[in-house]
Amino acid sequence: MTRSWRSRYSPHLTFSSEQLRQVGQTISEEFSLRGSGATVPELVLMPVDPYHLHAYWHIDAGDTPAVQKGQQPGGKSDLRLRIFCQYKAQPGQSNSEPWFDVAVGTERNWCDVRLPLDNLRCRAALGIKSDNQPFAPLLFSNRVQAPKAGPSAVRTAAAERLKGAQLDRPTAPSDRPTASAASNRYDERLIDAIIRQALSDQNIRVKLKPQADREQDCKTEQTLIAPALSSHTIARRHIE
Amino acid sequence: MKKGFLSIILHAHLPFVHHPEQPSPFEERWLFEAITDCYIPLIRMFDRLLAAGTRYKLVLSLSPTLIAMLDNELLRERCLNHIKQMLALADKEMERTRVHAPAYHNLACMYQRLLSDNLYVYETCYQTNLLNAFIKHLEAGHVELITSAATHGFLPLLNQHESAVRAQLFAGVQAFEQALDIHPSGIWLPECGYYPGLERLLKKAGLHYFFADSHGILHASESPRLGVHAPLDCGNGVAAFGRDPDCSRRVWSATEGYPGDFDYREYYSDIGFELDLDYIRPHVLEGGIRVNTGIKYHKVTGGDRPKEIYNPVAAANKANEHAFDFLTQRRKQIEHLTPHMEKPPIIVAPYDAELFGHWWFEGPLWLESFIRQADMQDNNFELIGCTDYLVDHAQPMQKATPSESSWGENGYHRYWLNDKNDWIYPHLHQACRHMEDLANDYRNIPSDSLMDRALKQAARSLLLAQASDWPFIMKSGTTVEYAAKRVTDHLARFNYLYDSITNNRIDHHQLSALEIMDDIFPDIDYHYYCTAD
Repeated sequence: MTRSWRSRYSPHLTFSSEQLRQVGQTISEEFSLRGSGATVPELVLMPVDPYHLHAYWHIDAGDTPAVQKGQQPGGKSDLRLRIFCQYKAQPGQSNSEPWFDVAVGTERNWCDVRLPLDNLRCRAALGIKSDNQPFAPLLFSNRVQAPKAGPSAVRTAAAERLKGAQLDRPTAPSDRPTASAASNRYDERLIDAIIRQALSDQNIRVKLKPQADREQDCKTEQTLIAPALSSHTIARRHIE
Repeated sequence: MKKGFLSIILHAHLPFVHHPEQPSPFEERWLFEAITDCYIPLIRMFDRLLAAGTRYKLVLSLSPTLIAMLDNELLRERCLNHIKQMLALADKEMERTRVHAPAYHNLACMYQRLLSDNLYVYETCYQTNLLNAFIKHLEAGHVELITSAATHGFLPLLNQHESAVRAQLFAGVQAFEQALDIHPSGIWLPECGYYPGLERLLKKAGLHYFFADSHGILHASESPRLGVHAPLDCGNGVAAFGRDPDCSRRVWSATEGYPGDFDYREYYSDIGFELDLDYIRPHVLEGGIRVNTGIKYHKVTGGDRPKEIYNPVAAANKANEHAFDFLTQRRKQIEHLTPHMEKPPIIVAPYDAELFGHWWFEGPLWLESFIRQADMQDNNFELIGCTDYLVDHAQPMQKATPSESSWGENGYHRYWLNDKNDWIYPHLHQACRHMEDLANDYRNIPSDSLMDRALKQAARSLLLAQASDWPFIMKSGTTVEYAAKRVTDHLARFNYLYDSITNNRIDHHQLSALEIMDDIFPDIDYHYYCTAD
């Protein structure tokens, strides 16, 4: 017997499973996602962890020729993501907003950005930086706050005594566990993945791979960070 | 007077999977297996504890998508069929093992009894609606029920638009209230995902507490004087409880955790993959695609040795031992904490409910044994619900804002934002921007009009696209195609509705079809997305 379905809001209309499937398929085909998603020019920053942000953007069609003009052989371009980090250097000093540039190609519209410090409040500008020319911004982003990587500086004696129960601090980039180390430590993600996988009935064991260093793709071309920042251990990579 | 408290939190969640357009979709089995393997065993545990008069309380978070599915007529009907089919296989296995595999016959009998009991509990005791069971134990005072975000959206990555977070929270609370007829006091933030400022919306939604991972509390704006063993007041009265790392490790850890014990049942040994295909074909997917059946005859065993036959008695004994060990550890922990605390400490132990019974077959037995042993007079702690702790023991709370965190990879957001799933966020953000436009432009539309229905359906489509499950699956690498299709289909439906509404050409027929397929949150209020005053 063919079953029929009714909307609770229009009980007089009935559908067969096939009719429902056709409606779903037609809409999925006619309104499928096109492009990257954005339709208005925008630059969006999202915090990933204490030392990483994710950025994506959509450049206005009118600016595309300027971007393409700066394109060089080998996929290089003059397109830059300028990251501004709000930073209070020392007590008594005024806030500064040092920045650094990340070279981004024209072939994609996203980038992972590695931050020199945790807990930074950042904004970004996407623009063109040609030789001997000032940075020409095209888009400005929202402000985001990267998470903290450690406890607040002031630690009370009581908190010290309870320290024994404080385990599993997240890792900074410099001490991120290797694949083998990660497999030996408590890893809720792995367990959670296995549970969900088990529920999916696929019976394929999850083998987690070390996180790919995607920021390698987004090469920090210049490190123009203020001295206050550069005194920290920063992954300064002068490439090319 | 007990020296301290332990709060066990079980977070029950599955993504909304409902396909009336297909005869027997594979992904709906996620729910059926969770019902038979996890929720019914837990409910049977609650029933036994109630009958025994055991004193305890635990917190159970029911995600709004799970609530909707447990209450859904089609899924209940299909689940009942699923249980009956499993029982038919168990009957068949009893016959097969009696003649051809006598070593497994006792186990086959065990599964037959288990499935018969499951059928009785599901069909007869609770009329195929397990929400009735949870309400029963809520009313008995042993379970505190809390909610989660509407479709389990990962809030730190949705707050590009505050309306997206607002809708996830408010629609989640509304769905919970309508299904269970109570207001939730607390919320399980999806994936424990918190960002500073979220407490403002939580308060607006009438929520009094949430949970953060350990480092979210330990890295708070002010160093927490009592570590993770007392909640923080986020500054507006909303409390943040911190997860106790040791409780997590004892259960979750692949190396140190209890579930990996060699006497426990091996999940990956299942007759769906082990028996002759012609024999098992009626109980697997169309085309003879093998799947787990839930009938498993071997134990973990350990090493590279051939898997040994599962011994349920030995496993039950081991579950009791592990429960006692967990109890002993908590007693020691309370003894250690109490001298340093200015109020009775609380140890918060949250787990995915789906761990218990499905992946860890003996999990419900372990939990029941622990609860029974914890109800002993000489115990120095008491099992408590978070609301009771807040009311009776937590005040005054230290004021501090937790730090942004999750319980995912390395404690932050990488698992939900990486090269496998980052493509979804520009689409999700844009859809939210469009939903805000719709809500602002059509805010005074009469309710129950066709336009009102279309606006509500657009909100449903957006919420369903935002589930944290989809980027999670894309990253974990299982059923990736399905997860991607769910995101793209829901966004396509949203875009279709946006186009229909803005061009004032709503197709009644197509709208009704979408309402049937994405039949969730019947009274959703799209005004959650309004940004204008």
